Amino acid sequence: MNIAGLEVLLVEDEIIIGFALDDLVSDLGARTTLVTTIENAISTLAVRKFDLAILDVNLHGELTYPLADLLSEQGCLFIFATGYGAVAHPDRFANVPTVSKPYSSTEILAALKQTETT
Amino acid sequence: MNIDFEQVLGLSPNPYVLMDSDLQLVWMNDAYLRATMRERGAIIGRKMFEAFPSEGESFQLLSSSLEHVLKTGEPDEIALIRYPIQNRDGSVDTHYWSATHTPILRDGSVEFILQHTVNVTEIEKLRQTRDEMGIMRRAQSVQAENLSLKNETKALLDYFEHAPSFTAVLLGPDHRFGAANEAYRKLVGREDLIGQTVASVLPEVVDQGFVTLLDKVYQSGEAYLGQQEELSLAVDGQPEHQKFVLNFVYQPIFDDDGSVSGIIVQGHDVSQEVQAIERQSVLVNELNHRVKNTLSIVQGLAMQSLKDREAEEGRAIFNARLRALAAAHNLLTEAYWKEALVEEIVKATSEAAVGEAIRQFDLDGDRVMLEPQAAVSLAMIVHELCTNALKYGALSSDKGRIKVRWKRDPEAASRFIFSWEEKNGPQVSTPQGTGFGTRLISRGIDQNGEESAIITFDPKGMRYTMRAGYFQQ
Repeated sequence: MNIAGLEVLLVEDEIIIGFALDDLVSDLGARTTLVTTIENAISTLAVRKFDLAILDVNLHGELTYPLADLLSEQGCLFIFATGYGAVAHPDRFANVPTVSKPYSSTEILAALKQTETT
Repeated sequence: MNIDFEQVLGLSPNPYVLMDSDLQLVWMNDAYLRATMRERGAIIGRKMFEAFPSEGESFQLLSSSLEHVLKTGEPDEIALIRYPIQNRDGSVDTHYWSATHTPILRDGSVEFILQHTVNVTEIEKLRQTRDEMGIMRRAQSVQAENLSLKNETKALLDYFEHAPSFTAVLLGPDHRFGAANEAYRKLVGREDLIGQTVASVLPEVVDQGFVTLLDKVYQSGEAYLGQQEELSLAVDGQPEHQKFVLNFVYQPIFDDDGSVSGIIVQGHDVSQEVQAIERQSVLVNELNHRVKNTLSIVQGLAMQSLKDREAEEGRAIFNARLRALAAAHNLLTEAYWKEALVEEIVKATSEAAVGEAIRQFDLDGDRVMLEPQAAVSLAMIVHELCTNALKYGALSSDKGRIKVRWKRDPEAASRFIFSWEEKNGPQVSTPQGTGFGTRLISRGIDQNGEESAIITFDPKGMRYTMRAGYFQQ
């Protein structure tokens, strides 16, 4: 999957991991926007549309599923990233590709590719 | 048909008396004379209240009824009137009467009042008997109440007996058991407590100072509160004493005259809670150990992967950053990953990063706590500020000074201001491009504040200000 030139929203509360993810996705040629809270993500989504999104499941103890609902409504494809092992998502997100931390660009790309087929 | 009503009324077994508007008795039948035990000659022509003297309530009742009839021309009834009557022998008996006063009108005004009266003394006596029965009923209900009080007391005793906290009542200066509930007996493993002293039943607690404590409470009248106190008991006669951790109170019982007559012992076994906390602490330590181990493995992997000479600088930077992260973790582990003091984060991180150059620092601030994630972020920021200062700023010269301050924000609740000011270092110029350090520093630790951190590259020295929320318990 070629994500060069696409607008990608990155939601990650751990800023150093966010930087690494930002670098990783930028290196793949995408244009990135990094936010660290659900609030900021929602206000960003209110004014801009994205082609793809990568969501950390747990932001400061708050789950990002409502954000995922918002993205679904907007028709934006997204994947989850998580620091926990196997995560049981709610049924409506059962098929959303999920990468575990620490992840590599290969894993991120593979997961993003999956979103096109599901 | 011509009926002689005087004869009819005269023969009636019901007592009748007729009085005129002056209440003068003008006619009565024989039944009336029998009922009132009077001779006709003694009362005829006399006024009602002269013939039958009365006072108080009875007089009031009768006269107001008669007056009412005279005034309104309407009949009136007295359901029950107590009216004493003099017997033939001169003694007086109390009689109860029921009376009807019927006006007999001529030209619209009352000419006569016919009183029909019935002696209801017997009925009244029956009623009184019934009321006395009522007293019996009341007595019965008091008895029932007593029974319910007894039941209530029993219920309270049941609560006492089955209360989850152990409770005992000790009486007298030698602390004899007056009562001990199930939980207490279970704790000490004995059933036969009542009447015995604490020292005789539980000799093992004497050496542990509990009897001395009881003496003190008894003598001073001041309660004693024991928090997580250890107690060894010889349970079930086993040679091995069992250890308990107890929260309890020795509460003096006062007499009416204010002197201590006993002590209530009440509390609960918190051994399991204390064990749970200890277990949790072991778990947190274990977790920390593993996290640090993992960090070491990451470090090793990085070193192995970046073996080239060219990568030497990168390795050093990476190692230092990893150490800063590990140091922040250490601080957090000490507080069970709940919070960390800004002061400790700043001191520990700077010391680790600059070594002896720490004496070029001037550190001071308020007592501000950070939650774990923010604490780690601050540690990383301070680390980057230190390495920048060593490379390009105040710490690259011996004369350089760094003033670091952290204060509660007077304008925003639960927020603090962190500032870093370098001076006496080499002249500062704005760096080209943005490395990881600058990126991290300029982001700050505030989750929402994109513009919460400001870096100023003043030629005289770099300045940095950051605002963020702090942790409140």
